[in-house]
Amino acid sequence: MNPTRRRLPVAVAAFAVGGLLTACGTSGSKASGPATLTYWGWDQGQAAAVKSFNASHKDVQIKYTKITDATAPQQLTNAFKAGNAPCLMQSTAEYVTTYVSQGMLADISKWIAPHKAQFNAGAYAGTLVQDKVYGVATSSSPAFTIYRTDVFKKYGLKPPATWDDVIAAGKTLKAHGIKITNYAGEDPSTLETLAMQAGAHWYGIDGDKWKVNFQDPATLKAAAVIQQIIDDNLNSSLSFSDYAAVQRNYDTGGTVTRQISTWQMAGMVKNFTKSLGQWALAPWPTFNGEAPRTPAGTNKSGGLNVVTSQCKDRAQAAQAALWLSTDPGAVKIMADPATGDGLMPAVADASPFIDNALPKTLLGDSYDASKKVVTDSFPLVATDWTFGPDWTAMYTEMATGWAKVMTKQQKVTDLLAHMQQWTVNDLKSRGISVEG
Amino acid sequence: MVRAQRWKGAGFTAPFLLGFVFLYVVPIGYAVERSLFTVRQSGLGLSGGTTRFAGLHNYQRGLSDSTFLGAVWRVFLFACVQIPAMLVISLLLALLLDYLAGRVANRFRVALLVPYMIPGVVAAIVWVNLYSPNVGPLTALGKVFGWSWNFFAPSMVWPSIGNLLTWHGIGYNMLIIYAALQSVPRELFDAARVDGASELRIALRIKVPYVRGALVLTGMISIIGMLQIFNEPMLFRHVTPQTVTDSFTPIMVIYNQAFNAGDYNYAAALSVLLAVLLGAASYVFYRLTTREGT
Repeated sequence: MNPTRRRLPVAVAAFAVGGLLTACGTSGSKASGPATLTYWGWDQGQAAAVKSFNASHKDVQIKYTKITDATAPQQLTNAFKAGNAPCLMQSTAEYVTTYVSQGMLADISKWIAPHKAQFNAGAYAGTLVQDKVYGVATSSSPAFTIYRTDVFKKYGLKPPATWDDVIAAGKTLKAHGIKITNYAGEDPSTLETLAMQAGAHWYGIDGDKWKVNFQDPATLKAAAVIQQIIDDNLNSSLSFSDYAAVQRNYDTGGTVTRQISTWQMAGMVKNFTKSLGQWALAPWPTFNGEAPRTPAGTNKSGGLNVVTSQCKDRAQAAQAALWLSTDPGAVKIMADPATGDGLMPAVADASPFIDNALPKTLLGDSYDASKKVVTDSFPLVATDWTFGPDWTAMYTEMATGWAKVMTKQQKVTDLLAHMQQWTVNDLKSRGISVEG
Repeated sequence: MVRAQRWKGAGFTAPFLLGFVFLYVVPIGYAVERSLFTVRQSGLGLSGGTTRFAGLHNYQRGLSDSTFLGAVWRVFLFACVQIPAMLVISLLLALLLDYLAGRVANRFRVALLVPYMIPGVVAAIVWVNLYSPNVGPLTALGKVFGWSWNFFAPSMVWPSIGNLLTWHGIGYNMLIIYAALQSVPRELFDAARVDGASELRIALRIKVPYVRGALVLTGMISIIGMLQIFNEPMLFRHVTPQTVTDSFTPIMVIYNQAFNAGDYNYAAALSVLLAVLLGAASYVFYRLTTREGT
């Protein structure tokens, strides 16, 4: 689910250069006149949105720098250590708690909390740590299934409504040499999103302690689904670093469903030659007998702009971020796949932007029905998920174990037991209070 | 007079010295200093941490860190196989070039250097694509001969990386050895030929002993480079993450500690430890290979 990772090699190279550049950069100007806010981000369209901000503001100006997304956390950490972090920084929701735990972010509740109603609930939740606001949401994450209509029709299948349906359809397709889904060995986000959906809380705050729980019934429910898919060989296992192969496999009908958000479709449109028009959207599968619920944004779709604690003009920075997320002009630039990245905006009512974000070439006759699937998914996103203060380290460890799950060297439950122990120990070794 | 000249001479080293001090000595000093501290958090860990003096604690931790030591050992074993193989091939090619001499040799020399001109990361990306069982040409090529090889299989990771490193490193090593060969007095060959020695015998008895110094040098550079291996396994990690773990090589452990775990101080200590280890390994290698004196 994470094509950004295929850019790692480039990122590794860019990282070295980036480190040098940031070391030479200076933080915002301290001269009198308009306040200058430095802003780092990587999305297409940010430069244009910033230009529009600068044109309409006299007292505050934004100085924008485009950075490499795959190493953004490292670049920010390095800049912070060197004392020249930018004022505003693009981030994804999963890093916010880690940044806060390193004292890198400013609490901007004062300026942002009053505007809560302007945001999509799921996107807004991703900007909070312990009810304090640390960022301004830029994108929301409608989540759904995309599937091959021609293949499903050929074998008399209906789009899967539940995870049990996914497994059942997978078994039917397997008989014809077709895989229901793709699990990349380096990317445990499937486990994360299914656990989120099931209502798991890997990290929670209990009074003055963290509560770590990777083995609650919800996570085990998610684990059971994944384990069955792996055990029955219903999935392909192509790595996203072999991106061309991943896309070709979808295009040629080797694998026929994905659980995605809107932004992944751009890559499909770009790489497909045979199957354009043969895809349709269906609601994200539910757990048997449960109300529909979609995972909170991970990765690219849980976007926000944070204000760093090294920023001198916090109020202006918070307000600038608010403008970038809510000004109709700026939002339109970012949401349009032609000028931006085609991300769903984080505004409360994102329905006007769906038209543009869904590619007609890919969805063909299913376009109108697919639009409804996206609209319907907006209120379903989980808002009660918490990312832990050592999320990055935990996720790296989990990725290693996930790879072993993919190659059947261990079960998902083995991985979860290991993560439980590992995470508790890791938090303890940092001096953080933890139970679990 | 002499004194003034000395200063003049020293003046020529100033640019180097300046770079050396600012780009090596100062950062190393900073790393050593950082390695003596540790960041402790408290409560929920949501209010930043406090930096405290920790003495040698990070070093103690590093010396008993099975992940780090395991990574060093893993790479050391790999080096024992890949480096000799690469040097033998480089030596053979250098001997061949020396034997051919002239214009033909020049043409080959440039061709053999081409892989070295390609940046390491790019080379790794190129090979990852060549190896790919899905889109790479090597899998299809294997099928023609009836082989079904998978370069990303867990057992093939080291051979695949080894092949890439060898391909990348041969040109450079060959050039150094070839340069050394050029300095062998030509009369020796004539004398040997007059005595009836075959070209093979000349190569083994005269040329190889003469380039020993160059072999030691290239060997040492290779060992140092190998223990710092990072790009290649980092890229291979994407295709076989179950084999190439996040702590596969020493530098990957350090990278992981600094940028994923956020423990810069421990990463600094591990970096210093690795540097000391490298220094020791180079010293031992140098002593072992030159003990008879040349």
